[in-house]
Amino acid sequence: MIGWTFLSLAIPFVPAYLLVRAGLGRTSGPMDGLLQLLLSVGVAFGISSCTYFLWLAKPIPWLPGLAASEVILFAFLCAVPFCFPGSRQAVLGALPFGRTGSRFPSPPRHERVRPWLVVCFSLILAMAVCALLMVMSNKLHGSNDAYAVWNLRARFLFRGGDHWADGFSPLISWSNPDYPLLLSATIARWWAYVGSDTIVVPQSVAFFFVMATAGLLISALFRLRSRSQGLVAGLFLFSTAFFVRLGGAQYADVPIGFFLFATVLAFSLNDVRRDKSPALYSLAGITAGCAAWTKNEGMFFVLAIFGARLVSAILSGTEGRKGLVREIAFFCAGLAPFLAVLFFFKIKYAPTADMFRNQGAGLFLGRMTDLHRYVMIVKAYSREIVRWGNGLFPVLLVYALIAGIRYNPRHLRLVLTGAALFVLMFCGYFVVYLWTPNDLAWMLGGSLERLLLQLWPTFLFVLFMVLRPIEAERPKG
Amino acid sequence: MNRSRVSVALLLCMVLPFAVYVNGRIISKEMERLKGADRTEEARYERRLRPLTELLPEHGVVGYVTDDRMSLEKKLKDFYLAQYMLCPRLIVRDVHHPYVIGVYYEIAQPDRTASQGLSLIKDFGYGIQLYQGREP
Repeated sequence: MIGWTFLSLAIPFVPAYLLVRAGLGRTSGPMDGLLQLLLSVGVAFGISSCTYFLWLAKPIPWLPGLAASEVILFAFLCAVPFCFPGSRQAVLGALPFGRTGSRFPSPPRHERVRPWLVVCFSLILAMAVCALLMVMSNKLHGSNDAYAVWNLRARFLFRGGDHWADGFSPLISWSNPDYPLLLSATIARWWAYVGSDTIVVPQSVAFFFVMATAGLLISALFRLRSRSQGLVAGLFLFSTAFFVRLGGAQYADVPIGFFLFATVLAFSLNDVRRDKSPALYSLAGITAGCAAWTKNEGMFFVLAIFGARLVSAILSGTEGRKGLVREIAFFCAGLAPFLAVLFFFKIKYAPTADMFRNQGAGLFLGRMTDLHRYVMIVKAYSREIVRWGNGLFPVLLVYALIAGIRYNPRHLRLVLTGAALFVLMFCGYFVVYLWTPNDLAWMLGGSLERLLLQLWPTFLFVLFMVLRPIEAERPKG
Repeated sequence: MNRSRVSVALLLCMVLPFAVYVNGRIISKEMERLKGADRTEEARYERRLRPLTELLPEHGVVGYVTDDRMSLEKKLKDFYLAQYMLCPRLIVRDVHHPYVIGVYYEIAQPDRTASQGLSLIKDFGYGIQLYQGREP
């Protein structure tokens, strides 16, 4: 089982790592290595879930076995990172014999992290891991959504044989068969490699996404801001009980949160560079595609990030028209394959989403003009934000007010992107709640907290990029 | 007092105790659950349903009936879990299928199932029964 597990991860990991490497350049420390590793594994899950679904759908009838098909396809994909202008050196540097200098600004080295902060963080990390493992051991198959949606669909894909598409039957519309397949196909593919639908696989995937989200947040702030800032942001993330609980319950909100954050991070890593990397824009497109392939909300995120990048480019004035066109083109190049697979799934297999059922023009207009619905949504928004994380939000607010802002002009576009993204996402969700034909109170009660959780790692990242680090940075040299 | 020092004090006095409290609370709740029957409930349910897989077809639609005296929440959870455990069959809350499974916490009442047009194929015990369903 371990050998097959290794093989199932290694095959898609190689092209994913080369692609991440093409964007990020040579690692300059263990936290940089961690950042590249986590992004690569996330991208590998995204790519391999698409290939597994396509292998099942067999658009080409003479495809060989799963492993053989994937080896051929991923060998071809390994060539893709070399196609980006100026990325050959960075990719070759990833190879054992490669020695290329980093083209990326180094993380701040002058700052020392005080030992007490490392000790405190390690304590909370240990507690969070313990809590996560206990939630998992008490919910072996996960909670409601896990066995009613994600793992159920994974079982259909794995156990279904020629009837694998029964999992999208309208007869089980309560299990949202229109939902995209990143999580389910990742689990089913892993099962296909090990030959059994062991519960260890969905648990491992859930564990990865919880820890990878935290790891990505910390390593990103290490690289872009300061080491102490990374650890403090990590403390806040691990103080979010809902994040640990929902991750352990194997819901898809943590994985989609990972991909939303990875997209913003890929853009941010480029925003602080002078020579923009096309591979990083494509990486952002890939992770945005992974978000759309994880949950329906991801589709909305793709539109929102487009809007946010446009708004931030206009407001910051840092990007000329040519640069913006280049950014959009490379972003779309990464996004397009995922959207193609998603549309193929939606058109050929997925039944109509419940959002689009019962939508007569009169009913729709009635809902959109019902003032009571507006009041309900505004109340729910404010209630959820105030009580977010069982009181974590007020704690964060007090911390932010006291720490104050220490603004770096190089981070302008990054911060504007984050701010515009949150506004667009919140407005978009608002419209979706107005639109929904389902009971509004039930929808708000069951989904708003989870939508906030999806944006939480990205919010912490943007916030800690502008907050003053607890140990004031001394000038370099 | 400079801002960095106040931030550090705040971290130590507010954020850190909050983080310890949150994670400690999850751990203590899960410890309690670990001792209780909750944890093994799904495994027991899976054991009860497993014999059904020998008689049910490998694919296709299977009907589902249950005990009306259960709470709605419990009924839903059992139904979702039945679909999950018996996958890749499609389980629907309907009796117009060649096979219908009955999941009960009370002993099934023959007069009620007969009135639904169901005839018993096998009683597996532990509240699990397999019926021949009604013609559509």
